Amino acid sequence: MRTHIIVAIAAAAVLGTTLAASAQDRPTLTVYTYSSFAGEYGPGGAIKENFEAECGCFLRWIETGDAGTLLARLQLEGNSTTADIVLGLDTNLIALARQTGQFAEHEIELGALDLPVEWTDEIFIPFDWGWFAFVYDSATLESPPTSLAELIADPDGPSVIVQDPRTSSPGLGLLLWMKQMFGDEADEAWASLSPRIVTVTRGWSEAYGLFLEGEADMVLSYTTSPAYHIAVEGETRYRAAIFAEGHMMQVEVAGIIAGTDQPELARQFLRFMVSDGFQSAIPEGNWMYPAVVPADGLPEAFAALGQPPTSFLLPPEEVEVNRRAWIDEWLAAMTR
Amino acid sequence: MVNRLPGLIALALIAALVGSAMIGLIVAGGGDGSFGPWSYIGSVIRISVIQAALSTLASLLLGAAIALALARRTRFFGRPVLIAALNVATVLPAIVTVFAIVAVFGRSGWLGDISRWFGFDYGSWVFGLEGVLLAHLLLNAPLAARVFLAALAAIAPEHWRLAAQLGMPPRAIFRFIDLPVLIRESAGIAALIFLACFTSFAIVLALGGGPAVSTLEVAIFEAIRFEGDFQRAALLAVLQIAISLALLAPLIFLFSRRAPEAMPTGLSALRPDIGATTTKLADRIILIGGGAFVIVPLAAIVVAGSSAVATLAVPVVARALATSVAIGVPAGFLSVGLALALATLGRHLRLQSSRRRTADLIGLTALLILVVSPLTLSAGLFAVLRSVVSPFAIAIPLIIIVNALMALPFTYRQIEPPLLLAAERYGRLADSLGVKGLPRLRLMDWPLLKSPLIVALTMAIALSLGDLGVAAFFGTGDLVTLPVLLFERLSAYRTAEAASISLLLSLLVLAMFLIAQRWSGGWYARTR
Repeated sequence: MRTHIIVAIAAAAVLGTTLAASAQDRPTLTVYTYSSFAGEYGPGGAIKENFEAECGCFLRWIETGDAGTLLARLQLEGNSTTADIVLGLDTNLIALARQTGQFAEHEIELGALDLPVEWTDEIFIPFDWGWFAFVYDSATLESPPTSLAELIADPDGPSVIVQDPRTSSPGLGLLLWMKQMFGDEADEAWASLSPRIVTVTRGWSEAYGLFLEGEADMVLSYTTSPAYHIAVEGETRYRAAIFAEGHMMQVEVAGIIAGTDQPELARQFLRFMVSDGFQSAIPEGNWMYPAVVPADGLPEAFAALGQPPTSFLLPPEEVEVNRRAWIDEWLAAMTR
Repeated sequence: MVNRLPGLIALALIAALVGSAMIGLIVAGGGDGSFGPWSYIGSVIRISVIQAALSTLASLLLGAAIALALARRTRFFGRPVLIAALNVATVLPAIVTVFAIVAVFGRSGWLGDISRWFGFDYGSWVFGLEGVLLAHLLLNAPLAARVFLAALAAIAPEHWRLAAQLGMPPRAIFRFIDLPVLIRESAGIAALIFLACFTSFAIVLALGGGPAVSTLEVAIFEAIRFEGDFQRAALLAVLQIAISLALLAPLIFLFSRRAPEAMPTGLSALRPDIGATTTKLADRIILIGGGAFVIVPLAAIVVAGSSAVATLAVPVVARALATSVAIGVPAGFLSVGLALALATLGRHLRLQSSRRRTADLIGLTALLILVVSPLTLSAGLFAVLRSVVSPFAIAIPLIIIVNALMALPFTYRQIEPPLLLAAERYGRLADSLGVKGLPRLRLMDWPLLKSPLIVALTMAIALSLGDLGVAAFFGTGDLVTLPVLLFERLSAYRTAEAASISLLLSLLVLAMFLIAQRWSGGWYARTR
């Protein structure tokens, strides 16, 4: 009896070491990202499969709420972070991210990008972009506001769900959009909108989920969100309200952690990020415009989408200088 | 030495943990002295005070009304169910209460469905002050009702005979007999409820609807986890401690005064006001309305939870359950161990008549932990540790330690009285017989201590199982406890999954409390 046990233990030990060894042969690349990217409905699964097919490695997604939470976590972890790559910050957060000193230059020769702006950053590489917009259900909201000013001013206007600018990149985007539109009177505008804000969520996923459950008339999302409903559900009732003043734009980026123990693999991933294997999963996975349009072009559903007359994108440095003060102003206006 | 050493170690450990956390926060808070928007911090305090005051007032009023009606109606169909529901509602984890409120009052909840069926959509109002108040009311009105009912049931029968002889009308009975009792009991329970609502975390985080309704506890969490701003967290923590301390001073007095055991006389049936038509009508309204307010949300957990029970069969639930148990059980044992060590030291000092003051101080140490809120302690430990090691990497031990300390006021209160009683009863006999060491522990202390230890352990485990704040603070994507998972499911509006996790968590916590009750004898009743 006893010999059987010893044999079993020995066999298990051998098996265990073999498995561990084969796992060690394949290095693991750890990527921090926001939850809707790596989650069930996001592009994370397809990207992992495509990258692992060519890298001989494991790609491990770590979900951390939305973009703001992502950066806060990185700051709190400091040098002990296990991340090799952070994916999902946007241009509004890259100056703050750069200040942490935790990112390394990408040292990659980038080909042509299909971005509405010129890209020269030496640390971060963009993977997609889009316009923030309020999405509504045309079956229940017949005459949506046609400008941000109209949305703010009408006390009987639609109820909205927005995201917290401290945790979420759309939330921060709206904060900047309001600031761009209303300047010193932005706090008045927030106070005026505040009674119609059903709830301020931490991330985009929560907000969009609540909206689909019918908890509010409009939700802060993207002009590209209706494409999901068209392509996946064959449903055209969800639309993005196009505002006359123009829309704030977002460019989402990824960067390499300076302390990574997989620098080569990390660079390989960033190069992969601007190739078809990654970019083809973006339009109908992350529901954003790809940074490099894949060979077979944009999906059909994107053709039906409205486009804003004007776009804004603030210089990262300007955001960084003012971010804290503007968030504090928002906090004060919301708690009035 | 056996009497003192563990206690001194426990005391040193607690002092080191709490002390270094406080110093860590103050050092981290040093910075450039610009604390940011006072208007925001002022608003948080103002809203917390208003919210806590409204929650307390509503809980006391509803609690008193239910208690009066129950005191007058000692026999009616469903009374045991209502009493059981009151007991259950007070021990539910806060995040489960959130689910119950959303499931009943939310737009897609029972009430929303019924009103839409009548062609009326009341929209989303469960986020914000209203939702927070409802959840606090569901958690605290039953607590107030239980305390009031115990006091009302203990009114001496002479009062009722006298009232009957004098022919006092129901209004006079309320004014001269019931009201003084209610007012006497109100001070302590009001302070307790106010403090709980003022430092509320899970309910405000889930239902506050953004920064418009916040508490200092939530603001501390947000300052660090959203912005990595230790300076602001430190300021918020200091403010919260100062305000809690001012609130807690009367509570400490009430805690240290050993309340006379309120023995129900069972003679409320003598009340002369039970026959009046006015009280009959009022009681009916209160028992149906108040009863429904408590019972329906609990029923929603059971109904929605059991119909979605299949959603529990996913690996993430099993992992969350395992993590919760792996945190709750060690936290319970640690808390009981600390309490036992402290109480032994306290007893040793108390038996030397010259050291009584010092002994009182030890009891106070256990209580003062109430002032240092879970997130203050967590934020402080984070600030201290982060230069040495990533606190996220040692999250589980940290959560265990903070939860154990948070349960200490309760475990200490369970263990200290019987330990002292054992020495008072059998100490001299044991001395004269020369019984020492382990046999002394086994023969003298164990018989009286066994039940309270089990009660303390299960209560501490239950408290820890229900914790959202500490686990969410130290947890990152990989560390998921049942309350954290429930919070995520609720935020994502995955109602069926939230329902089944709520039911699972409620059953776990209830099982703990049932074990506690089974072993409690008199001790359990005294703590509640």
